[in-house]
Amino acid sequence: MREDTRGQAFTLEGLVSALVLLGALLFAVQSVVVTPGSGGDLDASTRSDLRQQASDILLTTARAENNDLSTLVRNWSQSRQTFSGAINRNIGYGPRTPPGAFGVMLNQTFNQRGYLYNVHVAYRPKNLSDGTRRVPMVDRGTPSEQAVTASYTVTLYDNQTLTARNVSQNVELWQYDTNATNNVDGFYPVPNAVDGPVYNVVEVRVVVW
Amino acid sequence: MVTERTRNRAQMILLGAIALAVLIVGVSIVVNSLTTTRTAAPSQASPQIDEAREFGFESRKGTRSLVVRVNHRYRNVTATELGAQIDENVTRYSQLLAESYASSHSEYVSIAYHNDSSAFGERLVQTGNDNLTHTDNPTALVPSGIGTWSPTPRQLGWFVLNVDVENTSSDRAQIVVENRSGDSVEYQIDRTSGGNLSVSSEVTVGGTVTGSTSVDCDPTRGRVLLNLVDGISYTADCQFNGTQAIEGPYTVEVENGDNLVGKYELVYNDSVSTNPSNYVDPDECEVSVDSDEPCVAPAIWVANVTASLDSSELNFTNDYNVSIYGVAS
Repeated sequence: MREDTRGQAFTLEGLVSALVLLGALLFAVQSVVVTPGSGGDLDASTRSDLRQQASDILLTTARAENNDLSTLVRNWSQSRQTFSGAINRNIGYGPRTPPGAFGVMLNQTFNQRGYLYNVHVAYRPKNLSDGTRRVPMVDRGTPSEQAVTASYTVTLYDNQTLTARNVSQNVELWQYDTNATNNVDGFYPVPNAVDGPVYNVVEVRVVVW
Repeated sequence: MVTERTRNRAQMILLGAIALAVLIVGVSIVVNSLTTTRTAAPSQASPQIDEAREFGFESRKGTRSLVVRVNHRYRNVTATELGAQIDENVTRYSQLLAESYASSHSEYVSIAYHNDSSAFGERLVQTGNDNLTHTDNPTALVPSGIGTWSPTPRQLGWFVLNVDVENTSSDRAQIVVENRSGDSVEYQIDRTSGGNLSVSSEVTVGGTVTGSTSVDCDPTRGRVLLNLVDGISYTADCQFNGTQAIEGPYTVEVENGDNLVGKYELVYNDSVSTNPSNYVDPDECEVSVDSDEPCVAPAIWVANVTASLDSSELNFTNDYNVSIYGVAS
């Protein structure tokens, strides 16, 4: 009789051990954070990192000695009516890499890690009540809902010139027309927004997804 | 049969299971807290701090570029008129920046210029084509006080010479920039037989020649634009020693200015209240002064501005002085 009782206690102890282990495992499994990234989307941390990287690229380019953001914004070809070396005015450089260190950094930071990006130049129209207009510099499709944006503000001045190789350095920005079809005076889409030496304030926006 | 030994083993299994369970729970808590911390770390404040830094940098740079352009835009203005022009243009610039930031960052930014707290310098300008001569001999563009009198020479912020190459002689003209220690940068300028502009420069520090260059600059539409402060032509095809090769403040004199034809502009801080007796102060610029006569006009030397940024996480107002020509007084 005593041996039977001990046998039942031994069985009960085994069952309790199994239950304790199962409970611990269940707790551990339930407490694991399932991140959105595992489903193909970007988690908050990754998005923050991407935004910071895009912002750093813009900042580095804005303060560069050569091919800074202002130079890139003015790198407009008169013969192609788009950015110099770009495919067309609708997609800009599209799948091509933008010129200079800016393009190299975008390529190494995003392209080579499987991310897509767009770059466009947002500017103030002649009539300021018309809101913001934009010119695509790099268009690689429609961004996902998880896309992040970084931007940098660049001031253009009346007496600056376009920087594309085949463009006359004797023509200042204020002398260009913003009408692409009636471009006797040359065409540059960003207009002279205000009187005085300031020509326009544009934003270079990088969208990454 | 359950013996005392096997019973002890069963209790060990129970104890081992409890220990293992505690370990699993503990590890899961630690891993989970690490993951949660990493995810929650980035906040909204971080991007706004970056944007505030960007605005601080760009507002200084933009104000400097704008004031330089307004300084050199008009010849016949008084200090009051110049101050009003800069105030008006900074306000327009501020409005453009505000609209740009509001549309993309949901932030309000503004820049305000304070004329009363800004410092004026003097701009010597000859806007018409003529020799670099004056009633003085040699021509003192920035008056010399070295040796003969004791006022402080002036800091030089801008020295641009727009040379008409065709009408410039093949005989040399000299421009001598000198500081109080006797260090100097001497330029020899003449037209070459090939129609280019020859610019030779020699830097002397402590009585020893420390650098010399000799370059030919290609004219564009018959002219060469020389930036003597940075030592470069504006088409960047020729480089030479700039006046920055020696410490300021400086005096500037031109010898054989008859040989050189062009336009020029200098800007210096206006800290000298008296001029040497042999120096003929140019007239103040006004309509009655011919464009081929040098005259003096006001220029903002240091602009006092207030830059403000208001956002959901961050607000700041910064009052600072922008050195327009990058030279401390």
